[in-house]
Amino acid sequence: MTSESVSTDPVSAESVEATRTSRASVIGRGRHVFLLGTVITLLAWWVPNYFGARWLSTWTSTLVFAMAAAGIGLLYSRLGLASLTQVALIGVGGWVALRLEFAFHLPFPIVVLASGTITALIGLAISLPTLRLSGLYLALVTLMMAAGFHEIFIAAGFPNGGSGFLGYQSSGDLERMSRPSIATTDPAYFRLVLIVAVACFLLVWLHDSTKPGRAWRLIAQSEGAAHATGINVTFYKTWAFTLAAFLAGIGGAMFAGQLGQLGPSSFQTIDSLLLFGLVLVGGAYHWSGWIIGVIIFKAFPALLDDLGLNGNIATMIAGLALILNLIAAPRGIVGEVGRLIAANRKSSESDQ
Amino acid sequence: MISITDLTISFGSIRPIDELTLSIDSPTHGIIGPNGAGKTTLLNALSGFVTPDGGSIFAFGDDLGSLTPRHRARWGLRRTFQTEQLAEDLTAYDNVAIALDHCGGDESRSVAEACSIVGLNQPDRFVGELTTIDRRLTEIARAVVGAPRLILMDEPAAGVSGAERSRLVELLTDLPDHSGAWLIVIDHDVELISSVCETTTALDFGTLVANGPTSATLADPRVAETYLGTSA
Ligand SMILES: Nc1ncnc2c1ncn2[C@@H]1O[C@H](COP(=O)(O)OP(=O)(O)OP(=O)(O)O)[C@@H](O)[C@H]1O
Ligand SMILES: [Mg+2]
Repeated sequence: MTSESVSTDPVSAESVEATRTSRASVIGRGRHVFLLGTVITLLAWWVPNYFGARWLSTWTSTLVFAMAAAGIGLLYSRLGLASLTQVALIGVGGWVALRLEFAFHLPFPIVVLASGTITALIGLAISLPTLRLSGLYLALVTLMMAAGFHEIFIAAGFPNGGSGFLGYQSSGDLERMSRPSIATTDPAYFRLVLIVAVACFLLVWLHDSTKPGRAWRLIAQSEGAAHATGINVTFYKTWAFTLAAFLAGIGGAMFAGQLGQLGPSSFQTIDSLLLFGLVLVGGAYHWSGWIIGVIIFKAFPALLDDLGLNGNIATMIAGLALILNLIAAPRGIVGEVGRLIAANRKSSESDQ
Repeated sequence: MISITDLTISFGSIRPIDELTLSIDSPTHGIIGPNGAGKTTLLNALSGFVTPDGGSIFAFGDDLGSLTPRHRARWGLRRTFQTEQLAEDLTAYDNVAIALDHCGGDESRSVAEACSIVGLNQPDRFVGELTTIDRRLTEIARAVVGAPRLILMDEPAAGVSGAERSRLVELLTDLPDHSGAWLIVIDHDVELISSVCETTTALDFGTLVANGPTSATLADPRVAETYLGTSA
């Protein structure tokens, strides 16, 4: 009795390494980078030329929210954590950016990085007590935090050139966040946001394909096994949550640059919940699913608006999509497409 | 050498381990006993998953009992589980790499070397698409990578039969030589234990029935009675 998977010949360490390098070949990776670069360049050129001002603004904020969506997808797919506070954290990042801008008039990149960092620290502070909770409780607590942030935004307002720590004034000379000199126009700013969003996704990829990504996946499988493999479970969970907050914070600062001024209505509790749901609909297990989710979140209501329909229908349809998703396609749109491709490949292989 | 002294573990009124004193003197050691004897609980105490009510655990002179599970792993303690615990959406190679990420030292064994020792020949496949035996081998490779000093295995051959089983028995028998670590194996299969283990402990109701060279333990009349179900 023989079995295919049990080799009779011993495998040498060299041959193990050889099969690896042939699969993850440099050429293969180079082709991906080239493809991705081409797509991004085409988008940067085509979107501002093809779309009018209103849709360009929609696509710009789609990219902003994609940064936060990456955090949602990361936490959910790698650690199984439901964070329902990401849109509120965009608001936090935006608030910090406006505050820093009007107080210190720092260069734009510094404002963006500082907003990301301060939002990350706030995320860290949130994660320490909450990450001990699991499943439904974590979801509920983060949703309550989103509601809390919204209340704070309403009470404090967003800085607009007023005096004092809050920097809010209800009348007078309202200041706007300035854009960097290389990206003052809307098309140029879209391109800048695109570059920042790509950088955010690369940051996630960098984590995901190395030590933290591996640790997160084993933690999701079994915290016990993770401990027994030497992983500092609390540290890696906290790191993921902090990274997600950082991405939302960066997004918030870019949003402030896009709109000039911010208001509490952009960061409602329902938005945090909806964005989470739509990332699941798009497919939380792959970055392309995060993008599809955020496109449904931002572009779909704008499309309904164009057709003269009430934007609230979008929320209802999103809810329905989520229910369908949970029942029929738990790995989301991208997961289903991947499954179809795999099934196709298999059937064409067996035809031969 | 591993010495366990007066170890007691209780869950409410149940005492799966009751004032157990035990010394393990060979690099391949088996633990046998009927269902519910406390075998897995003993392994969990060694890895630090359960906190004993009392007693001590020393391995090669170090007080393992005083370390957290994570620090025991860094000390060189590894284990496999009664049901494999692997990250499904990573390759076998990356699963093995996790141990090296967190327990790697200067003189660490590489992932490729670990795969080669256990005979894992398709390390680039995702765990989700591996056969039972390859999943088992991946978990063993994760225990072997780096610089392990003591490897614990809970029923490593469950669900494996035929040629794959003999291959696994051979692998376990040679593991201390190849990995430099001592091996403690739980199994119900006396045949596997006697081919792999130099010394063996028999447990029942959380107490020691017999401990010593495997053939002596298996020949002990109380082991025959309590474990093999034959009356002497
Ligand atoms: N976490 C726990 N809480 C309560 N009781 C437990 C717990 N873990 C184990 N026990 C009990 O302790 C006893 C010993 O269990 P253990 O799993 O150690 O047995 P075992 O020898 O590994 O058995 P098996 O051969 O079936 O795997 C059993 O009665 C079990 O029900
Ligand atoms: Mg057991």
